[in-house]
Amino acid sequence: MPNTKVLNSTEFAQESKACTIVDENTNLNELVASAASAVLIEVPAFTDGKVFSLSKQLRYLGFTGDIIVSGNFIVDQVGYLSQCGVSTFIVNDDKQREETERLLAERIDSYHFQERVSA
Amino acid sequence: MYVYQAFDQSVVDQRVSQFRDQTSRFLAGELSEEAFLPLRLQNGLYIQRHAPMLRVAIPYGMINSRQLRCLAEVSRRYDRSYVHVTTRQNIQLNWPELKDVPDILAELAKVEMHAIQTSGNCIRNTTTDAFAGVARDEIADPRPLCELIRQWSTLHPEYAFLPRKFKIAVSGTESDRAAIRFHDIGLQLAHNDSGELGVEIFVGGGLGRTPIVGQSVFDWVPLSQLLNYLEAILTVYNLNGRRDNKYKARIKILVKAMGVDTFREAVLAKLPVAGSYDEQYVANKLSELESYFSEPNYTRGVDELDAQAELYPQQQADTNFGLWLGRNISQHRIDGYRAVTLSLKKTGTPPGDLTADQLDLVADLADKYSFSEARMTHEQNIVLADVPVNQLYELYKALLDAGFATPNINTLTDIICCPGGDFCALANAKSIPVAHDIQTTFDNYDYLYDLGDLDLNISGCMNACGHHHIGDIGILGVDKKGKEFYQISLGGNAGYEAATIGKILGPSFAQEEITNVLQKLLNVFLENRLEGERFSHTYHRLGHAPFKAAAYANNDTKSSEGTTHA
Repeated sequence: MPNTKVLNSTEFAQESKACTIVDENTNLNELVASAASAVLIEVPAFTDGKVFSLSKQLRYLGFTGDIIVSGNFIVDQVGYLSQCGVSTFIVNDDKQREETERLLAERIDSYHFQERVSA
Repeated sequence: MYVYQAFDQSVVDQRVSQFRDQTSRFLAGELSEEAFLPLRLQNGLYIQRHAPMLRVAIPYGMINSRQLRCLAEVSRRYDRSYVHVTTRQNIQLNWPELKDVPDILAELAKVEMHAIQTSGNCIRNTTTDAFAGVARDEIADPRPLCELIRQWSTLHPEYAFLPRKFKIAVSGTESDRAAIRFHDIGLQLAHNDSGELGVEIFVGGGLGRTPIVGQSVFDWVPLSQLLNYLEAILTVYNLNGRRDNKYKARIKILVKAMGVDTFREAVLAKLPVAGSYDEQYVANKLSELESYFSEPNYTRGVDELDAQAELYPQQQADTNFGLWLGRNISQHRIDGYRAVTLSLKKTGTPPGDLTADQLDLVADLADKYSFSEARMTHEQNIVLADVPVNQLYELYKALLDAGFATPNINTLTDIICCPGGDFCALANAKSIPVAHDIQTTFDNYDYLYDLGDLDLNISGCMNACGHHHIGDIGILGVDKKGKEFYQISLGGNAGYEAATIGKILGPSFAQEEITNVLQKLLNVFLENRLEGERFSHTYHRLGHAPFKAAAYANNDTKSSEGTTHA
């Protein structure tokens, strides 16, 4: 699984990574079977939690590439996003980026059984 | 009951520091009101009419004496020395200061309590029968399953930003006492043909402004597969539920829009990837959890008839004790024991409220008479589930002194009531004064007992926290041009077999008319009931018309054209 990263848009653009855009209409089985190595999920509003299910399903289907989120998520969601399999966070504001890195580094245990099941 | 493992404690402690950090960033202006909102809600903190409100989780209603004492102390130190029991078997503090909430949560964490996911668009506290484990009509004890669901749903990273809140209830008895068909997911424990224990899964029930009876989506699922089914259902909901209109965002609307068959297919399609919980792992986990709900150290071999004989002279000498035995005591699966319901419906006290001193007393009584445990009920009372018959009289006297012995359980005055306009910012009308009027008017026990079991439920607005839709009689506060009025509905039923949403009687009434109208409705019932019928039976047999005619008859009440409001 890719290491978790926090990038701003410029840094992300410099990586010039080919991303497949994923939303609730994407056929995830087909996507995982394809050669896609990175997906991008745009979060329309932080209250819209579809991103959590999309990311988790991709991981459960065996997707091992980069799952990138950008858009309107809030820093206090990054722990859960990471637990659902998100590997790259695009954050432009420097202060927010610092907070994101701080919160990602915090140890948060979870009952999320399946991690323990698959271990 | 369940005892925290090191892991549970670390999860809760981490959550306390996380919320402390979030609160201090909010107070420092680094976290916007908008971003703080879901975070505080998922830690049980609302902003209400006068002050914040903190809702503390009591998992499936089970609480021990240490926890009761902690709540008492917290309410004294940080609030106004009382708490309120909710219909989700939780408790609420109505007056904490925002800045104190992290400290309150830290205090609660010391006794294995928290406020996680008691609000917000996430999976809420799982509820069940307050008589779980002691009921005589039990198919299986629902508590190990409730605990499994608690652990699975607590801090589940995928389901913290659902389209809307999500409530799960489990019933372990045939006569459902957990209103499972009025939950987003209702689980009914049942054996299959080969005697294996599993659940029937109902989805899409709910009250609120669009009350819907949940439908059976899966007839029977083995317990070892349950988490996979729950995840598949939640994932379908999270991806497809409406987010454009909060009033259409609950899963009930999605199930209705898709149709049960299409919804079931969508769930089955997600099943292979939604959860992937290993069946053996879940089965082992359940067996481990069962060990926490093993029997307390009952005194065995008590002869039931001897035990009853002992009560007889006490009843003869103290008729009020006899009344209390008749209403506030439930049978127990172990001979020589009874479950005792403490009534939090004393006239003059808001339904479900109890003081810090009363909490301490419940703790003492639980220690002395009921293996140090108590249960909060969804009818907003408290149960001591394991009381020896030969200690009932002693317990009764202690309860009488404390104001818990009102012999009105399951009667007209055992009212389910939301906090209403006195506290809640959402309410259209007050509900506590209406409950008070009813309790004051109908204070004759012969009359109440003659009416028999009768659910009267009051909600201060259409969000239906007081479950007015499923009372034999429901009362809903409505706002008409800035004035408070009350709409009455009849014939609701929370039970699994006969789950029914009450029908609105007609135009609403002013507060001062309610008791008079109630009297007329009760008269129709008393004059027409057949033997063994409760109010809703008679109502459904006779139909709406005679009740409506009586309620709006133009006589001594003010419910005439001039004062009623559609």
